[in-house]
Amino acid sequence: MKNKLKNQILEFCKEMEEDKLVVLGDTMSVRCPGGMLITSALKPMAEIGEEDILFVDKKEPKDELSALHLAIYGAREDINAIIMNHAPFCVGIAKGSKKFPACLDDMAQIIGPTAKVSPSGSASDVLKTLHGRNACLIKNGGVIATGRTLDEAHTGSLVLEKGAIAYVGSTVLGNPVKISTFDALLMRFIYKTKYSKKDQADKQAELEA
Amino acid sequence: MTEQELRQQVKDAGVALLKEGLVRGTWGNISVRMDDKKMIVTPSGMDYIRMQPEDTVIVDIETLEYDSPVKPTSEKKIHAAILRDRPEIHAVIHSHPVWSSAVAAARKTMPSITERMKELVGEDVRTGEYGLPSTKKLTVGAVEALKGRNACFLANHGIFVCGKTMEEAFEIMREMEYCSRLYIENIVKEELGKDEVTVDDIIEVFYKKTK
Repeated sequence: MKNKLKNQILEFCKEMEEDKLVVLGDTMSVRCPGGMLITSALKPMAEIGEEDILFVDKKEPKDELSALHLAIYGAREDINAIIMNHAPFCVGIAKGSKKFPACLDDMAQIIGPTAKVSPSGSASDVLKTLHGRNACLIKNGGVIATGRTLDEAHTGSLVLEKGAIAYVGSTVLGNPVKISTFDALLMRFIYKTKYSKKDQADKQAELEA
Repeated sequence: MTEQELRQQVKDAGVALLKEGLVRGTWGNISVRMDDKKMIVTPSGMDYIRMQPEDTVIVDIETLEYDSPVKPTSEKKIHAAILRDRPEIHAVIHSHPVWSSAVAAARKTMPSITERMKELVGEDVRTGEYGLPSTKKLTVGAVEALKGRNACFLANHGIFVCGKTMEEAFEIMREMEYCSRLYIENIVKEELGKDEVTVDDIIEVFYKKTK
């Protein structure tokens, strides 16, 4: 299973770099028995090889960054994968806003009615901001996207950046229309319980096979 | 075209959407007219790489009935309504590309920005009425907004395009994404007096407008 996970990590590292969503220092991790597999922060994602994906024991974080990943896994049983990125429009919003609303229904489904900005990158601030959500931004920093699988965390990264572009773009056009909280919560409930459940379970089962 | 060729056409269009960055994060859906009564559509909740031509589903345009263990796209109602309303149309593509979705979030009518857009879709592109996925309101809104045009936005959702051929529908999708980006960037250029714009420029105008 570890080899399959490593291959999947390598695949998504390449995709994140190709989509220009990451900078040097960004990392990706996947929960595994006893801890997690995490990519090195010292190399650009495009250059990450199998040897740069390290196992970190859940009781022995190596540094502040791996401690943050582990703190998220410790607090959130529903999360099995984390991608930290610097998607450009999310970074722009995180500089001067406290949150931004879902103006697109795929963001409402996969992320939630809003994406919030954590006041800092400390584990306690991030966990508070991430409560009830799959992703959050960090003030003057980047993005933390999570998921039941790495595939979902990757989709979350893309959908959040698209949501950011939609909010910024529609504001530039003079009329950003946010999805009502009721509709957003309803769509999120349906997505989590019905639409994506089988797909995510199949993808997880393939990794465990 | 044979049934097999049509199924392959749907599969190939899905892969092409992905390769050209016209689907991002979530999947769109595609339909082609098979005959007066039936269409072939993409399956529900399956990505275009995993999807095989035989996973596409034949659906009755009038009754929406299908005879397949694979579920058709949940947006089949809109595809069928467009094919019923527009007999000249062969292919319908729905997706959520980044910039088209941004215009859809503003619920605007976008004027034709380029000559090519005008030739392909008409004077302008309207936004269909907002509705939750799979609702009648959404379907009726899309068909109305598409009258006399070959593209329409779906409020807070994405875009529908249609063409006499799959190639034409695909070109419209590509042109709409290009023009949607230009529509937003032109405002930024005007606000800042610049010929070229960066992400930082767009963000600067965004903060100006939120003050």
